[in-house]
Amino acid sequence: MIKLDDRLATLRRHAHEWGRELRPYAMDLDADPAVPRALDSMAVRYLQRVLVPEDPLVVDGHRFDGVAALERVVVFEELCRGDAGVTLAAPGPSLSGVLIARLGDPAQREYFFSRVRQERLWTFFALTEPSGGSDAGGLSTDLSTVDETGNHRLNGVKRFVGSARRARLGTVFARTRPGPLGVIAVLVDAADPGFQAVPLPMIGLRGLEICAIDLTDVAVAPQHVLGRHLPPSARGLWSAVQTFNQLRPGVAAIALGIARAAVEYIRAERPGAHGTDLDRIERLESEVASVRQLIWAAAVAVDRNPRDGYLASAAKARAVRLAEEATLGALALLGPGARLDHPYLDKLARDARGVEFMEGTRHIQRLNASQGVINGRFAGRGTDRAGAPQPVAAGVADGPRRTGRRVPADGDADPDGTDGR
Amino acid sequence: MSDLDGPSCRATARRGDLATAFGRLHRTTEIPYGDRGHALVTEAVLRRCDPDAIELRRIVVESTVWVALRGPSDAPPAPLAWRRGLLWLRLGQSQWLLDQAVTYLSTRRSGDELLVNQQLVRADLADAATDHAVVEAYLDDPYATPDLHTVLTRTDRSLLRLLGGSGFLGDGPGQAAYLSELLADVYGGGPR
Ligand SMILES: Cc1cc2nc3c(=O)[nH]c(=O)nc-3n(C[C@H](O)[C@H](O)[C@H](O)COP(=O)(O)OP(=O)(O)OC[C@H]3O[C@@H](n4cnc5c(N)ncnc54)[C@H](O)[C@@H]3O)c2cc1C
Repeated sequence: MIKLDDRLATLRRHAHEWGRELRPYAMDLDADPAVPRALDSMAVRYLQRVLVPEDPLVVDGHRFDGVAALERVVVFEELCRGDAGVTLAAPGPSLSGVLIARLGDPAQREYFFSRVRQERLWTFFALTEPSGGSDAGGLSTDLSTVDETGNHRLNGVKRFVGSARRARLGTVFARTRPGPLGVIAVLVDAADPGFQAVPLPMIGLRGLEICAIDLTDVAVAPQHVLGRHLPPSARGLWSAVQTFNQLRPGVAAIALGIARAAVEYIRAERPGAHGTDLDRIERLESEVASVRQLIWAAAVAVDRNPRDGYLASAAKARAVRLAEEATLGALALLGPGARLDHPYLDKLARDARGVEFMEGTRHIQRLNASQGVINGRFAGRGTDRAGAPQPVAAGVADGPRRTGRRVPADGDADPDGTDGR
Repeated sequence: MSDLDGPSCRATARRGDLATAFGRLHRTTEIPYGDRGHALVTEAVLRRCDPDAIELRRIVVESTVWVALRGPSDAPPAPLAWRRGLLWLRLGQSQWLLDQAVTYLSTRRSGDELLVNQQLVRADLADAATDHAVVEAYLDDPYATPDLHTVLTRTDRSLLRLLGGSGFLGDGPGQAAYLSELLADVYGGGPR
């Protein structure tokens, strides 16, 4: 069992309050996602600084920069327990921040993070295409053309990209040539000619405002090609896989936050529950606690080694299942008409469905986890032959930073290439 | 089920036409209420019945407007036969969702293989069809349990996952599935 050290326990307490501040905005944002809310909240202040190591948030004398996955999952659970829609609508480096921290050269990191630091800036991360999101290797957005000025030209269509309408900066995955090594990520300014993002109507998580993006001859300067200082095998799709490994525990924590919000809601609504109803509530509560441990363990694993994303896949799959079960279970416990009488719970049930697709579906996560079982790395490389994780010390979040760490290009690469998204 | 033709209601819903299927289910001028006095009806049914009820919400599916209501405190719950008709409707809707999923998965690939040929996907398709068969078998039983709504919701959720992000859009098949969940919420379950 993992216990947080003082530093993270302090953060967790504060994040709980930050999450509570978000709840009052939840229904308004759900009804009208175009208008950002809670922009002056502590939650947003934290999210804007995540991964900006030069500008950490100081809380009770501790510095927090969101670089460690364990720190992020602790905060995300609390914020999404407040409200996942409002949390996901926040400006900040978000998914692109993790990618740039991993792949960017010093100039790219400075360009991206200085803009994020100075402005209230939303960012986007565009990988999925209309023809299929699970099969990232099949992407066809084209970056093969270089114009007379030496700029690349970006052409293609992306789908379901969060915050793309309000974003001013982001990353796009595209292809310079066929094959897995032909995929690279580039920095794109949303104000550039040829970039167009249109919001799609969503069933839940509406604050995220997923968009369809059209890219027509968007100019990309060579210095905006991420990982250009790295060999081809260390950038592109393989880097995306490692980035996803680092992000995945955070996505699981979003689902956990939603599940917990539903369970706490039903506890408050049915204080006198007894018999089988009480059993059902208590079972959900204990599942929330156990999935939290799983997510923490997964975060510790990717903080130790970003290649160890198998446990994170398992955690994400479990967390989204729990989010759906907890929200539907809470509604069932309130009886007929609950979705009309308890609109917030109805919203949670809608939100819960969306996390399934973020950063890869349950099938893809389970396939990925099974790969870890087969290659003996399910619970990380620090596992014994029986697969039992070694004990984890408190304070793991204070371990070495991953930011900007060069991705080894050779023997450390995923041997089977089966890590899903 | 007296004057209600469940199978034809199901057939209409299976073509994706929930509004017509609901109209078929509802031929009287009485609003059908759930056990707690809520109702969810198309705008057309609402106009025909003109009830003494408070409007709670509107939901648009395709181009049909559905209206959620809270009726008077003595609103009589919809008769058993009508509720069974609703199960036929939800079954048809869920079968439509299965058809949508098969069509979607038959045009998309993972590497060189069609998604519809992935074994995990196939297992889901088989489970969904099996659930449909279970519900249909029970629908011959005049005392069909309210739990069948739970079976259908669970099946729909699994099919929605198969539809990927497109099933999470308000103008796609996920919206009809959401409406189906709301119908189950209002008319399913038992009084508490
Ligand atoms: C709320 C939300 C936010 C998102 N944010 C972003 C974002 O910011 N940026 C971005 O780029 N994308 C984003 N996405 C897209 C998301 O990553 C994709 O929806 C997801 O990867 C699935 O892709 P798809 O929708 O094309 O489904 P598909 O790939 O078409 O999958 C359909 C079904 O087939 C299954 N399947 C696919 N391959 C296999 C296989 N090999 N074996 C078994 N089953 C398989 C899937 O599990 C799924 O059930 C977001 C989506 C949502 C809903």
